[in-house]
Amino acid sequence: MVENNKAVEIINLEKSYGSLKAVAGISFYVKKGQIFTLLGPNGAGKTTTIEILEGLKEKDGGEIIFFGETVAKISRKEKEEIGVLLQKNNYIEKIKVKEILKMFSSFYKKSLSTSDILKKIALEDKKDSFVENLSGGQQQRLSIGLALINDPKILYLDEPTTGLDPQARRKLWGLIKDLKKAGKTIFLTTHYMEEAERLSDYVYIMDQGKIIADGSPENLIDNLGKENVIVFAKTSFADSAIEELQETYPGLKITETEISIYVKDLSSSLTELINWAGEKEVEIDNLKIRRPNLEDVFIELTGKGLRD
Amino acid sequence: MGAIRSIFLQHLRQHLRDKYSIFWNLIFPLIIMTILVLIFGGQIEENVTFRISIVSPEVEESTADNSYPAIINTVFESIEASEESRWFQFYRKEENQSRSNFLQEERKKLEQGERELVLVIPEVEWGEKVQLEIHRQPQRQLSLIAADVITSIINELNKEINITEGNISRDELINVSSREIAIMESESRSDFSFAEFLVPGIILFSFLISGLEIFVEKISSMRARGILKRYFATPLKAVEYFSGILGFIILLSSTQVVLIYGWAKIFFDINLAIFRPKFIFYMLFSLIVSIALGFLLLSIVKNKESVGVVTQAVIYPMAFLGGMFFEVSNLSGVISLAAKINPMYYLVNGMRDALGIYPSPTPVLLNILVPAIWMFGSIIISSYKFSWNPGGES
Repeated sequence: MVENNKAVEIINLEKSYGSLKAVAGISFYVKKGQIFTLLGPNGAGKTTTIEILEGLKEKDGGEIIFFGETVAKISRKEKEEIGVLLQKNNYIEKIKVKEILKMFSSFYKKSLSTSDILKKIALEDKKDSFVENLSGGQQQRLSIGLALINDPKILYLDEPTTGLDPQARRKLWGLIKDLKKAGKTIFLTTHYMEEAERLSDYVYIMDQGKIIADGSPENLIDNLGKENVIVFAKTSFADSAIEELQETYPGLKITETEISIYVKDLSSSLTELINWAGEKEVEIDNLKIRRPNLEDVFIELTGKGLRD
Repeated sequence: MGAIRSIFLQHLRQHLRDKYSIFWNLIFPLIIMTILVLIFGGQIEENVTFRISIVSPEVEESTADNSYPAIINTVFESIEASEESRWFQFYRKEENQSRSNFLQEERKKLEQGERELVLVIPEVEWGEKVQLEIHRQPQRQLSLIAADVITSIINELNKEINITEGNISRDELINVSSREIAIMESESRSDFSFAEFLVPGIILFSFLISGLEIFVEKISSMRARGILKRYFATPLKAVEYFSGILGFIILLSSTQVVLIYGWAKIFFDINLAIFRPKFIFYMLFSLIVSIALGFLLLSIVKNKESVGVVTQAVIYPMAFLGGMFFEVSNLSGVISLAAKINPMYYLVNGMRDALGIYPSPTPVLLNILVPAIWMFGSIIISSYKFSWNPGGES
């Protein structure tokens, strides 16, 4: 007998709000013990998808298979095995860290001790603090602690680092990696490509309710077929110069501030660009060379940025 | 059970840690009561008796049996003979006294506070329009209540006439008009205690605040901020959440009752048996009605910012037009209609009747029925419209 290594699978999942099709028949599965990421811009349908899988919204169509069992919706039984971190995490006022952990533990049949959770999220010294007095990063770690209180089989983390400063964000990434090491299956949604690249084993890219690409971050980037990206400021370029550049580099991407050229052979492309700038007497400012990333994959696929 | 206990404790802790909540829910009702008693009270005696003068026409025996004045007299005689007589003391003219002389004397007694009301039954021929006159003192609560009670008795009598005589026009029924008598400077004596009158009203007011303000604002704020959404991403059942929050509201309301009663007992020397089963029933019923109204508000007003404004806009008119603090029987026009469709009006009448403060001016059946209609209506509408999610998506 082959062991089923799928934690959660959805087939042709659909959800509409009036005439707006938020999730348009998507299918994917999450492997046990992996970090699975749904990447996409705001409004792509990520939160609707994850909220259906958390039991907060009902699907209009499609199938959900939860640890091998087909379920019409995520009910209390499945919620016992799920850990949730919502996109916006607010707390009631005048409640202490240990009190909220204890309260959430009472919602489940089985739960870990509050001291274990406090240790995991490194908030032992804050157990008697009021939640509103914690920093943004500490509050987010507490939210992960609440998601872990029932020792779940799968953790749903919806945009876990949105609004955090870079230091707090990195700290939270470390915590998520530790959870993976401890064997947890993690379903992550994000619009930060760096987050998806650093944390994910497998990525599904979603736009306008549909899955437009999937694979490991490395594969998705490799499939672009470009090894380097030359980026420079757009400000000093006249429209005619840009038009000329577009003719020379058909894959060129232009944003409000930057021009990106995707190239295979860096040294010859760079020489070519500098010679062209010399001939045309235009200045190339803020020149950077970097490896392509998931944002570039998204731009390649949709013609727009993740934050557009 | 553990989840219910947690939700209950969470709300209790939150409340105890918030000095504003303690002030508004526990201290504010006592302040309101004290201010009202200090301004309008000052008469602290035991049982209420309505001293009512009946100025009857000098009719001949032959016409007495089937005329409306005679019927009205019979009604009051039957009240005197019934169990309800404990509420009333009727005064009639002596045989050798003239009607006008008696009326003059009784009006004077009304001015001096020795009567609560003078009822003048006109001398009419059979078939003529009957226009009763009620003389009352607008400055005295007990006089207003007596007028309300007598008006409700006449209304009941008109209903009976309508049933027995068939559908007859309004002009053919008994009409009532009021005349107001100015109060004399001398301190009038009364058995009525304004503090006792006020206690059920203040208790109901506290319940209304618990049901509408605490319940609605707490849930609406938690809904808008996505806190409820997070709770329901766990196996927590909605019924467990409500049991917890209801447990907290029941504890808070019980504390309010004890504080209000204790305060009034110590400072205003009230003598009320609040543990009567009938009164306990009315308290529980009032709390449930208030919470059901809260649910209705939560279902209709989805926006957190609007909820606070709407709640305030509902609580205070409901309290004032419900007769919680003052008698509202002398209102007229649209305001009177607003009072008569207000469930609080019937609940407070029922509560005062249950405590024996004064007989309900509205029938007991209506005291249950009108709030029950509001309660079931609210539950039905809420079951269709209520949503846990911010923005109202179900």
